[in-house]
This record gives sequence, structure tokens and C-alpha cells, in this order.
Amino acid sequence: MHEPESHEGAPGVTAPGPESDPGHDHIHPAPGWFLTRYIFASDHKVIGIQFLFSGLIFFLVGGMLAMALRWQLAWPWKPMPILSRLLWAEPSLGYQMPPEFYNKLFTMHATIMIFFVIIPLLTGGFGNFLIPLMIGARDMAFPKLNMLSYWFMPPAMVLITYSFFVEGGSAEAGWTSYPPLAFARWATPGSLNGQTLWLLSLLFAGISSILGSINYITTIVMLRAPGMKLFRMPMTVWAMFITAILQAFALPVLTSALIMQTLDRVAGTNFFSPVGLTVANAPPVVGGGGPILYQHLFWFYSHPAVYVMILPAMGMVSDIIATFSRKPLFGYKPMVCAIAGIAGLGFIVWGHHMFQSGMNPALGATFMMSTMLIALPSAIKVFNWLGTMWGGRIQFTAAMLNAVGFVSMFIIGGLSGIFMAASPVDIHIHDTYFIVGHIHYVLFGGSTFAIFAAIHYWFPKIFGRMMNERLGMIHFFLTFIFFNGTFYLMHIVGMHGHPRRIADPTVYSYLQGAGVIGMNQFMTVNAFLLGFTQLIFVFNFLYSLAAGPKASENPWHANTLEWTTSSPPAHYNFERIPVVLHAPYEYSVPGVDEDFLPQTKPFPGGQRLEPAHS
Amino acid sequence: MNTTPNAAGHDFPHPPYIKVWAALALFTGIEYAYAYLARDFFGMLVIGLLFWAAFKAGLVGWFFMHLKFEGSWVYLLIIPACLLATILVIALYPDQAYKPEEFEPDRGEQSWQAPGSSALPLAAAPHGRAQG
Amino acid sequence: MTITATIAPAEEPRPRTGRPITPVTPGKVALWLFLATEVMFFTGLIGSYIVFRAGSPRTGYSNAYSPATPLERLLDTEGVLIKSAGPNPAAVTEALHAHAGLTEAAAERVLEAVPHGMAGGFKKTRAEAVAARLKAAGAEVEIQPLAIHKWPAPYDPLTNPLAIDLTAFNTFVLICSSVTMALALQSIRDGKRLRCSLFLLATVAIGSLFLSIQVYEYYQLMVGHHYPIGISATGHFRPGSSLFASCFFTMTGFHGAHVTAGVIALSLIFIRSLFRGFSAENHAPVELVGLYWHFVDLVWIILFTIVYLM
Repeated sequence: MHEPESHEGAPGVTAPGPESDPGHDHIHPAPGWFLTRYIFASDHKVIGIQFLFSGLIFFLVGGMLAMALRWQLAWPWKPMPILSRLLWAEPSLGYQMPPEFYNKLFTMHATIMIFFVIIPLLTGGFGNFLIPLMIGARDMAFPKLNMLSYWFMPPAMVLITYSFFVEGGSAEAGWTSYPPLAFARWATPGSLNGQTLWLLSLLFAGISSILGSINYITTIVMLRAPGMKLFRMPMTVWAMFITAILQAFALPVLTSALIMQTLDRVAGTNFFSPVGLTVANAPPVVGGGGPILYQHLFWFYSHPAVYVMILPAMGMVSDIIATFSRKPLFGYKPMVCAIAGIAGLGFIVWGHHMFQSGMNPALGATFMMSTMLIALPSAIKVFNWLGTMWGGRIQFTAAMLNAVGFVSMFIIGGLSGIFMAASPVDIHIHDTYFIVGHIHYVLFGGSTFAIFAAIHYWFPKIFGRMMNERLGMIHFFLTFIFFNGTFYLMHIVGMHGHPRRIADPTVYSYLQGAGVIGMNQFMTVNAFLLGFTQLIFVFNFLYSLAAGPKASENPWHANTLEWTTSSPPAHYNFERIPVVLHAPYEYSVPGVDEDFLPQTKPFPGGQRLEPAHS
Repeated sequence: MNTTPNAAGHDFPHPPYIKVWAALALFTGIEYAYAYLARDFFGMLVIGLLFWAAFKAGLVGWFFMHLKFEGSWVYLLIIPACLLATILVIALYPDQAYKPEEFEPDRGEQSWQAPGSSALPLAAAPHGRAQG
Repeated sequence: MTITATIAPAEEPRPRTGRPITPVTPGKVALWLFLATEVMFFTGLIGSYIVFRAGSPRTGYSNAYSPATPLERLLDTEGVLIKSAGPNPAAVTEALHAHAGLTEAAAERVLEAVPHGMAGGFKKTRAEAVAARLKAAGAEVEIQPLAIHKWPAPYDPLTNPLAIDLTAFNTFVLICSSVTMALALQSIRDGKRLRCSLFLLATVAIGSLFLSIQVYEYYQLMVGHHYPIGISATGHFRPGSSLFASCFFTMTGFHGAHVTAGVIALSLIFIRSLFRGFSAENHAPVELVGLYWHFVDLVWIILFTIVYLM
């Protein structure tokens, strides 16, 4: 994983393009034509912003799907405001949400949030924008490939949106899309056409991610500015690097699984069908394949995908916490090793999603052990964040608040993950709301808070204007409260046996008690409040975009390279390619007047804090 | 190996491509013949063929893809990929390959031939497949 | 200013005896990364094939029943193999229909697969009776006991439709295209533009020949040829015929798609080479497409071995 450093300046190595003579040459002006500048742009910053906007738009869509879900759970079969009138006014439906529609809701909520919001926002948006800026490069290694990787997303978005409107509606086999439900065409209305569109959409999104990750890795390995050794890279870049490796090695396997399922559906292949399977009086298939095989292949990617959704968040939060604690990051190298460890282990733990699938018990024990091991590097990270804040002069900006929110919520999400990892405990809580609570503590409490933190932190650099701090704080506190109000109780109802993916929990007598119903209603109220709170963020984002105060080059007094260039950076990023002199976390260095020391500024008096050989 | 400097003065390696090609063709022939001769001995067939295939793939990688002349960085990509591929296949094995047998034959496979009408020890075996 | 002191000094690469190191370029790093992703992609397909095959029930395929038929209660049955229909095929079809209990369509399918036409699933005495009727109709027949297979065996025309001779030749074709590709790269490195163009053209041509043979093979399997019941219930070998067919078409199909992409890329490179697009100093695309092309060749070597020969 650690590319050899020896190629820096080695004679046998052709340094790529502009960097061969750092500084002077090859400053291209931004393309003048509107289309190539903003739409079919090859500038990594523009592409990052494209990913950012499309991700945020789908964030709203996914959020609205979630609120519709919550409505049904709190008040089953009650007419929903607006939606019922629009969709189910027909007398036979009587303003009721059909159960199939509920299935579509949770399927599409998860699909959109994972594949169209969090992954594109973190790796596509921030990865694109930050990697070249933070390593001191003019652009990605392959700008055209970068453009291509973005333009694989719109087909995916169109297909997934269009799938709502085809006969039978969108996919409804869950975001995991397990066969045989997913491929038997008459199993559910959503299996009719929506599922095929879902598969194609994910294939497009996957190709986008693979191309992106190849680009990121190459850029980070080859295009670092002079002096930017691997262990002088900010945590964000490290995290993006390792995330890209995860994607590059795991995603193709999902691609193969999705292709096999697509062929099962359209070409009649037998990969995931048992012998002679017949569903809903359809003619039987020859079969002979294995439904569990799909689960293996799916989770071989989708567990690493969980880390794709959290590692970049961890990296960005590390940078934000160090900046606002005005202290060096506690344990920089252990942090890097922890990320690498999480990623490495991430490849061999996928089976913990399948404890209840009828998997071979020998595999179950193996996967349980490897999963438990992940607690180790995760704990290293948490303690190092705490160690970074400890004794620091913390500035509670909106970005910092969200970052601290990330750390605390990640602790809860991580701890509830240990319950799942233990297969005996998992037998009880598998497929209940406990897992729903867990994943939302990791992906909303974790990744999404980190995304909010990163947006507040890098907004000045991306758009050249400051966001409103007061609104940001109000947004954070309300989000934090309503988030916990929504998701914390899920652990409790889950322990009580509340199954997930079921439209009406009250069909079970043990879920008819006032407690469970009350908790469901409480969660729903909080979910709606959580949703409305995001309007504050939307307003703050859009208002600041148009009329926020102009940002200076380095508003947060941070050290990393992106803050040494203008806000927003010019098309070519840096007038001169910066020369990196030290690690990125030299805050409050003794003997320096200010409490920060950008990576391009030398230590006073030739003083060195790192050993010469590092 | 001949490393003749070219017009530009670079020292590009010139592996003996034609010889490698001849070797590949020869080993394809050997593999073909081996597969025909060993077609009834599955264990030998698999081991032998995997050996020939690995050998040929190695020739292609080593000479045609210039692994011989690349720095060690290439192996940072190849080895993890091959390792993960192996792990994946090994982990798929217990679930997919070790399914409980539908019936337990108490005789060798060859003796299924026309056992006469009366001796049907297997007819009473549980019908239907174990869940897959 | 201590800038120069704090930058890592340029180090000489470690000397490697007898092993010249070619330059590292972003393009090469990215292409090898891409190949790593391709390795994982084909692992998904080939790994599934391996475990499907290892996990296939020992009765998965047989000479007398269609794939994946539950054979637990049928192990004492026999099949009647029609090696030749004789002078009067219509009579044989009629005999099959009348005495073997086959529908007319099924009887015709058996006849179409001659010399490997298999009418299956008779008890011993019935098989003899059917054989006698068929002989009377002029057919050359042989009674075969039920032979069960875990997986279609190579060289067994009753369970395995793949033409190994043709594909062995096709493997040789692809190897040839690999060496012309390597020679194209060598030529441009020596500054010989014309030689490079010619070798690129040869690679495109040989690659297209490989694809043509594969298309012909697919056509024969899916449409052109008729196969006995042990291969496919419908008489044609198509992706849905059996798990073996699904794996075969998916693996070789995606390999073929990669070859197609390679041929297209090579054609573009060839056109560019005609316009003096490459030189001894500047030929990265030739090298990168070459790497991809050799990788595709390598995958085929593995596929040929594990799909056709085993």
C-alpha cells in the first residue's frame, strides 16, 4: 500500500508534466467556453463542485423518502399529507400507502443515500476538490478521465430516478438486492423493470467510482509537490488514498455480481437461482446456482463500501479537529496506520452481514473474529482525536462542532457495531431496528456530520465566501438533538424485536404496546424536525454562496497547502508549485509568532521537529 | 537479454519476443495434448493444466507485459489483487462448494450401470435438495 | 533559507543487477491499477465458476437427462443413443414418438442431434424395446447406461458442446496477436514507425480473427448446431441452458467484450501511428494498450484452460 518513496527525484523517473520544472511553466488559463469550463469540465475543482451539488440534491431526495418511511411506521396506513392525495387517491387504495410502495421507499432511500449521496460527496466531491490542492498539484493526473468519472454519474442518476416511473415502479428488494426476490421478475412489482434499471444505475455509478479511484491513487502517488513525502500528507489525503485503494480492489467484484444478476434477469442465466425455482407461476428456471453466492460477492464490496463512506470522513475530521484545537494531530502515524488497518481488515470481514443467511458456521466464527479486530484501529482513531483536543485551545466553530459531533456519534455507532459483530448477539438483533440504528449512527452521525463539518470548513476555499457561523451552529445543535431523537430509540425497539423492512410493525402483537408505538411516533416527529432543520443548512449554503462575506486566503489559520492559495483557487491552483517543508500539523510551534505554520513555511532558525530521515 | 540502445538513447529492454511466442505456442500444444490424454483422470488433469496455464500466464506477464523490467511498485498492485482474489475464492468455497450432498452413494460412480431392477438403495434417499 | 536542506535529497535508485528498470509514468501506474481492478472483476466471474463447479451436485449433468434434473430416483434408467438415423429419418422420428413416449417436437430434437441424438430415461427392458423399434426403422442405435457427471466433461459430446480443437486454434491466434503487439512496441522504441504501424495492423487483424472465430463458435452453440438432451433441454446451448452455459457465456462473453475494446483501441492507435503520432521518445499509448492487450491474452489462457480443457 505504501508506494516507494525512492522515486522522488530519482534519475530513472520521468516526473510528470508540469512538475518537472516546478513553479514556472504550464499555467493554463481556465477554458473560456462555458461548456468546457462548467459542464464538461476537466478541472478537478469544478468536477468536485459538480459532485457536491448533485450529491446534495440527492440528499434532499433521499431525506424525503426517509420521512415518508417514518410516517408509515408511526401511523401505519394513515393518509400522508400531499403524497397520499397525489398517488393513492384511487378508491381501491383509499389514500393508503401500499406495502410495495413502502418497500420501494426503504430500498431507494438506502440506495440513494449510499450510492448517490455519501460516496459521491465524500470521494467524488471532497476527494476531487481537495486531493490536488492538498498535495500541491495543478490538477489530477488524468483530467479527462476525471471528467469521464463524473459523467458516468448522470446516467446512473437518470436511471435511478426514471425507475420510479416505469411499470411496477422502482426496485423494492432492499438496497442489498438479494436474489431470488431481486431477479425473479414476477416476485414483486419492483422486480419487473425497476430492478433492472436499479442494476444498470449501480453499474454506472460503480464505473464512475472505479475510474475516480484509479485517478486518485495515481495522482497521490505521482503528483505530489516537492517535499510532500507520504508522511507529510494531511490525513484527508491519506484517507482518500486508502479509500481509493478500497474501491479499486473491491468494487469490481460488485460489478461482476451486478452483471451476473442482470444477466439472470435479462438473459436467463442461472447464477443465483436454485434448481427449478419458480415464482408466481412463472415458468421454472433451470437453476443450479447459489443465492448465497450473491450475498458473498455483494458484501465483498459493500462492507468495504461502509469504510469508503467513513474513512474520508475520518480523514477530514482529523484535519478539522487539529486545526481548531490549535494543536498537532495526536499520533499522526498511528492514525495513518489505523486507517490502513481498518481498510485492510475491511476486506476480510464481509461475512458478518451474513450470519443469518445459512452461511457455513466455520465462516461465521472466522468473520466474527476479524470483525472484532476492527475495534482496535477504530479505538486508536477515537482516542487520538480526543488526545488532539485534550489541552488544545479549541475554537468551537460550526465546522469544529460538527467534527466533534462526528467523533461522539461515531463512538456510539462503533459500539453498537460490536453487538452485530458477535454472531450470538447478532442472531437476536439481526434484521431489526437495532441495525438500522447502528448504520444511521455511523452513516448519519458519522459520515453526514463529517460532511457538514467539511462543507463549513472548506466552503470558503471552494466558493470564496464564508458561511454564516451562527446559522451553522444553530443547524448543528438542532441536527444533533433531532438526530439522536430519531435514531437512538431504534436500538431499543430493535432489541424489542422490531423488524426492519416491514411496512406495519403493529401486525405483531408484541409490537402493539404503547411503548413501541409511542417510540415510533417520537422517532417520526424527530425525523421530520431533523428534515426541516436541514432547511437552515440549505438556506445558509445558498445565501452564503450568493452573499456571504468574501473569504481570505486562510480564514481558519490552517497549515495545509490548499490554504496557501487564493480562495477560490485559480484554475491552475498554485501560481508556483509549493515546496513542502514539514508535516501538516505544526500548530502552536514554540518560537513562531502565529499559532500555525503552513507547510510551505520553514521552521524558525532552521529548527526541525522531525528526524532528518523520516 | 539484449539491451540495445535505440535512436533516442534509452535503454529499452528487448526481450526475445519470438522465442517467447514459440514457447507459448509449444506449450499450448502440450497443454492441448495433455488435456486430451489425461481427460479421464480429473486430479491429474487439474493439477497438470493449472501448471501449464500458470506457466504460460507467467511467460506473458514476465516478457510481454514487461514485469521483468518494472520496478517493484508493480507488485504492490499485483500481489494484493491476487491475494484478495484468492481470499475471496477460498471464502466462497465453504458455502457454495460444500453443500450437503443430496444423497450418499454407497458405491463408486462407475457402478451406476444397470444395477438390475430390484437393487435400488438410493430410491429411498430423501428427495429434494438441501437449501442452497 | 534552509529550503534545499529540508527537501529530501535526490537519491540514486538502488542498483539492481541485470534488471533494467523502465521509467514509472502516471499512465503506467494507472493502467496497472486498472488491470488490478480487472483482476478483481474476473475474480468475481471466474471465482463464481470455480465454486459453482465444485459445488455442483454429482448428478448435475448426465447423458440422458437435461441439466439439473433431480436424478435421485432415476439412477437405474438407461438412454438410447442414436448414432445414425439411417435411410429413413422420418420413420425414426415416428418410432420415437410412438414407442419412446416423446412428443413430436422432442423426437425431432433427438434426431437433429444425431450422431449424438439421445432419447433418455427408460427402464432397462423398455430401453431394449425402444432400441429394437428404432433399429427396425433403420437407425443405428446403442443402449447407454445413465452416466452422471458433476460437471460437463471435456470431449464428452453428450454433455459438453464445446469445440476444443477450434478453441485451441483460437488460443494460438490470440497468442500470435500478443507477439505482434509486443513487436509493435519494440519497433516504435527503436524508432521504426512503419514497422510499428504494420505490427499494429497485424494485431488488429489477428485480434479480429479471434473475435470472428468466437462469434462463429457462439453462433454454432446458440443457433447453428443441435445438441443432445444432456447439454440442453432445448437442443441449443444458450445462457439459460444450464449453470455451465451461464458461466461459459458470461466468462467468455466478457472476455470477448474486452477483446473488442482492445481491438477498437488498437485501431485508433494504428490510425494515429499512420500520422506519425508516435516516436521513439513518445509512444506511451502503444505501451499502455499493449499492456492491456497482453492482459486480455493472459485471461484467455486461464479461461481456455479452466473452461474448455477441464
